[in-house]
Amino acid sequence: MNFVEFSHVRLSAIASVVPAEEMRLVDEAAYYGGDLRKIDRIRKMAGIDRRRIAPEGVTFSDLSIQAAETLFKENNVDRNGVDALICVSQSPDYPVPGTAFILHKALGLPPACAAFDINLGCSGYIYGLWMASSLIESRAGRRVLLLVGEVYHRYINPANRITAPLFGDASTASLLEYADDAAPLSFSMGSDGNGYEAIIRPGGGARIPHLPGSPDDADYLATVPDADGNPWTVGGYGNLWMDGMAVFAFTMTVVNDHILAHLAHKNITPKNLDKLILHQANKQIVQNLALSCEFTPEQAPWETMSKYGNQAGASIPVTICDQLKSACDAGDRLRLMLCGFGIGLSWGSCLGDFTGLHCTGVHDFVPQTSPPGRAEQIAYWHKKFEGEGNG
Amino acid sequence: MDKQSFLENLQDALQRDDALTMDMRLKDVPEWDSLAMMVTLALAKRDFGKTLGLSALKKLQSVDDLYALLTAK
Repeated sequence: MNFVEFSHVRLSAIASVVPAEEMRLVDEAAYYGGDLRKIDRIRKMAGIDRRRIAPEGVTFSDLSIQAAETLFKENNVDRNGVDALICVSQSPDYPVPGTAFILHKALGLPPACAAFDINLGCSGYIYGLWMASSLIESRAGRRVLLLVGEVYHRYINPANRITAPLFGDASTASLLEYADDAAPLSFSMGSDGNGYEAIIRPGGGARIPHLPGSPDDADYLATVPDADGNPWTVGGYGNLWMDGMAVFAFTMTVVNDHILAHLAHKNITPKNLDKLILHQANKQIVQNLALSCEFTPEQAPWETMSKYGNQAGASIPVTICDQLKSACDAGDRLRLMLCGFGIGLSWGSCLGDFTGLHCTGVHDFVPQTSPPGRAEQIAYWHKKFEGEGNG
Repeated sequence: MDKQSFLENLQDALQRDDALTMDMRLKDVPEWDSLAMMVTLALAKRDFGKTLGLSALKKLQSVDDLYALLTAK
């Protein structure tokens, strides 16, 4: 396990944006044979209740623009002073280029701003903070904008009762800045590639590309039900596979030990901390991890996932905005441990005093224009290929 | 913890209406699913101070087996 401490980095501000469209588990009783008791049981045991789903045509970049603009406005940020833009998402607008470039344009960032993507999910916020902090501590940049979010519902078949009720769409903007008097931020990061199949979209990349019209096209797109009838597919729509029990076992062993090791390394006990902000995987995972690492239930909020869904990399900043806004507004002392874990498998945690953090809360997405339709966008590209507008 | 309290706590954790008995086969308890195993790990820690793995839970045959595992020295 590696540890690093940065002493010139401040997380100044966070803004969160979620789609306004809400889906509730009780609205989907048809998937449970109308059995409301079953739904109640899932709500009470897993904390799965409501989630936000981005409407068709709305992407990670759309949500991120609003998050970043809110952050800029409320903190009087000069966008010409942003030295790096890091996007952490697995819901890119296009396979290539990275969504950082779409957002670099949309946010009017200067040419001197380095922009790049990181392909990570539930551990992504911690990796983004770590990367941004490394850049600042090394003096590669003084101000970094970190955008972390997902629109996983674009990949999820609503009939799949493992993934569909769990995830929620969101994006977040965080600002990290150089400060001589910053409180130290301690990081510990890890990964285990042996678990790469636990959460995966098997088709659509170079390993199993989509070959329309090929003899195996039907197999590629076929849905294969598990024992409970949940549809899974290698390629095409809804191909996000998750081995929930493998992920749970990973959190209870590797992530649990990771949290304890980081606390021990810094000689900190849960009593010295105000909150443990865990990735909002589900209520059981949050409560089990908190309990076994000897935090009190009050120290480790899980309610954000019940309100908005498991928002992958965005869940930690959204939880801060959702649960700690009044503490931030009051200037309360905020000694936090943040811990993210998931796809990869990967994990990371950050320990620090975040007193003075400005958080703008969780805002509903307000579209500035109606998103262009699919046909309209395809026609746009056809015209471009034909040379319209060239030379 | 005595057997009666354990049965009541387990019933509550599993969000089950009907009482459980020690001789019940876990495969006959419809609530004994992956969600139930997750909450049972928390119950093991909270009520018995035991850190269990999922693999241990998957091997259990009856409610009595679970109690024996939780109370084993």
